[in-house]
Amino acid sequence: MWAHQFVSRHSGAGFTAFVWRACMLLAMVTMMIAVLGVSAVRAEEPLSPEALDIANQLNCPVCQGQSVRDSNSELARQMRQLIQQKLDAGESRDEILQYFVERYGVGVLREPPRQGYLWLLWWGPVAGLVIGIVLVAVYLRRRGEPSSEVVVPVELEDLERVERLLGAEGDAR
Amino acid sequence: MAHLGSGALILALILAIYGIGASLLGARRRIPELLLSGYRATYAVAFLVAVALIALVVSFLRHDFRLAYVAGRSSRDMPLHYVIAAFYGGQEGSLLYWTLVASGLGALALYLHRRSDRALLPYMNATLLSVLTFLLLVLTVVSSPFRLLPVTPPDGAGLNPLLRDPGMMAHPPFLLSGYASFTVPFAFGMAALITGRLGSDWLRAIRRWTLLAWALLGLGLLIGAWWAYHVLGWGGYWGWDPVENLALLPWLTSTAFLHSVIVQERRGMLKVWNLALLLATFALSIFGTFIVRSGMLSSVHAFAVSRIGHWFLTFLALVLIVGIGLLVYRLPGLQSERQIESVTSREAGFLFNNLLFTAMAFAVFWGTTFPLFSELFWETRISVGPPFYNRVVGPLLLVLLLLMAIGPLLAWRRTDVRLLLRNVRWPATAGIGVGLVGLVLFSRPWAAIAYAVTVFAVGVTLQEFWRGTLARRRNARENVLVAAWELLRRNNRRYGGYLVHLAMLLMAVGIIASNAFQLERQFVLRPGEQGTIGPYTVVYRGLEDRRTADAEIVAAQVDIYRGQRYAGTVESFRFFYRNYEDQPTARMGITLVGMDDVYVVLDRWEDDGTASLRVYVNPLVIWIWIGGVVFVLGTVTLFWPQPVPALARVPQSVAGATSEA
Repeated sequence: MWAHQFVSRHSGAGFTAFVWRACMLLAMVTMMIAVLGVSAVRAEEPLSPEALDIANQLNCPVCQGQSVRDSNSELARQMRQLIQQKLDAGESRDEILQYFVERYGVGVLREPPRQGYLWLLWWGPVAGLVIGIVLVAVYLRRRGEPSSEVVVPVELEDLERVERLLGAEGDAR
Repeated sequence: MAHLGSGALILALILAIYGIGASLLGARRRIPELLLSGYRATYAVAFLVAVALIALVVSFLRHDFRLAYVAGRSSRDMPLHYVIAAFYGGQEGSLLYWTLVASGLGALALYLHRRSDRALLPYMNATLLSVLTFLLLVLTVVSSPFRLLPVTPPDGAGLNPLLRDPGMMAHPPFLLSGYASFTVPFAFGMAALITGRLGSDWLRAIRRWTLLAWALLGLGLLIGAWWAYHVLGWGGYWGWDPVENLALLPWLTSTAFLHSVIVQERRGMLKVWNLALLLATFALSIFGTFIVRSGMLSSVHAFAVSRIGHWFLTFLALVLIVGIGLLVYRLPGLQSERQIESVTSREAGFLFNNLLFTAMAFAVFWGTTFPLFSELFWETRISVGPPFYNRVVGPLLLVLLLLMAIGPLLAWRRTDVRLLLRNVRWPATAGIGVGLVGLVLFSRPWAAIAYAVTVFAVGVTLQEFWRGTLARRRNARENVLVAAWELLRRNNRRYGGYLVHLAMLLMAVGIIASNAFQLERQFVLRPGEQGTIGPYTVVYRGLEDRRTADAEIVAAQVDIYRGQRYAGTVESFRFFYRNYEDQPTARMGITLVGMDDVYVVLDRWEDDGTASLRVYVNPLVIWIWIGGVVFVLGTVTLFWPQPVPALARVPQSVAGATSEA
């Protein structure tokens, strides 16, 4: 569509051979985009919520950090259509995911499976937390007798009275 | 301009190296003149880096396409504000900006502390200049922003389309300056370790600097979330993208530090731990800065890939070796002055807080770096997406919210449990009430529990404000508004902190709702057709082609009705920037109806105007941004200059008395 206008707008601007070559290249690329693009930029069949959900569990293999649901790439569009077709054909979610894993490898899943060495990934944070808890517990266990300052047991009523009197100004400084 | 810039950088590098020598020698031999000369070297470095940055910006403004950096990131048809913003649009410029912030704040810190922390300053200066030397070395040797092209092109390539957005005008500068600002507290920490002056001087010195870095980084993350929400089009604001994760890490560890440092100030405990947190925060800042550039992780930010990764890796290793080495060397001097006395004490509360923050940071770090190891050891590409983080971090956040509710009520040393129970009765009742109602109404029990905890924490925080205000009103005989204001002003550290807590809770309201109750539908509509999602009807009016100087724009117009009532019209855009036609960017059409964001994404379209639209209903997301505003207010309160100390100091050992947090 407007890609053509764009080419005509910019390809006449060449001054040097360098720019001419660049512009020719640009023109070729934009022509290709225009030719391919018109057929590529197409609305797709509406996806069912389940298809969207499955698409959101898959990484777009050709883009950086986007899911198949959110990506605008052609491949992602085809994958979305394929998911819908497979769902319509009665395949289950797991079968569909398995299909994509076989084609693109386990990296296509946004949530790594819980199997083999990947258990390391899933249990790592838990192990970290447990180690942390143990360390804190050891630290707390080491607490000895109250240090030199003597704590006099205080009655609850006194405490409340003190707190009331001090209010928030207790530590104004 | 190019020669001015690169000359300034080389001069700065030489001065930085000289300054390290002068500071160390001056401290060793006790030569005040040499020390002073070292400080002046830092001022000069800051000035020269500023000159270099100005030279770069001027080159951008004059469209000086002889510079490879300028030609690669701007073009004549870009609007002025993006031309200026383009200077941090690539690696060289953002490193220069990093260097400017680190040197500028470092010089400011030297000036402000020139009388108060004399013993620390020489080593603080030497550390600061070492960091700057590294950065300047990278900027002059490997990736100079002033490299010239052999042939001058008539026009530049233009800025990466992802960066051409108002959110991107603010997100990178805040994030980068947050990273860079951690240099100052790190330098003070190293100085404390080198001199062995591990008392409270250095802690006092760095409090504000850490707070500044933490606030800048937090704000940067928040603006990044806002940008992602408006541009990336997955209906969310936080995608657990590796680069976001890495920016979150120093924020998590510095939040832990800001809490645990209070324990050291008040009770002389956790000294080793605090230094370790500080070191980790700085190391993670370096890690975050360089990994964006290394291309090692797959991310939406990966447009700035380069080969300086190993320089940073070496520097990171150096920082860690020196830091940990010094820490181990000083271990004997870092004994706690007191011991913890009870599990139900403020100290223990902060300890649990640190446990949770560190565990969260570790989980995020683990998930973010695991793909690297997977490829290295098992030769399998994997990706760790949002489901992992939601599952792992979610529960930790919930416990953290609970702790946020109880923590402020804990007293130093030990807490009377009866008093604690008495203090929590009303907020707890409110929380449990909300939780029960939620269990009945919501289909998701975890959301009901999360809201119960949030309401409990909000209740406790408000109750703390209320009781403080009442006490002031009674004692100082002020009316409620004056009392509340004075409370914030005079106890800014405590109540500013609570304001930040409130901000986090407001955000939690939005985060829980948008995770649990988001609606999503996809429609393929011809102009005039409509679809329904939840209580909303969307009517697609059609596409419009527009054109600006640097882009072609496709806009889909959608009317939104709630029931029969018209609620607004949104436009969802696609931008095709010149030279970047293959990377279209977008801006979502979002409108706030009541408390719901109706969020329209234009996915694809045909020549006859048929479009496939994705529509989300995101309830309560507005509270995340309101929380962001409160976060800024709380941070400003924390920075407020403290009034003259009160005349009478209250003995600290009164258990149960309210105390500073």
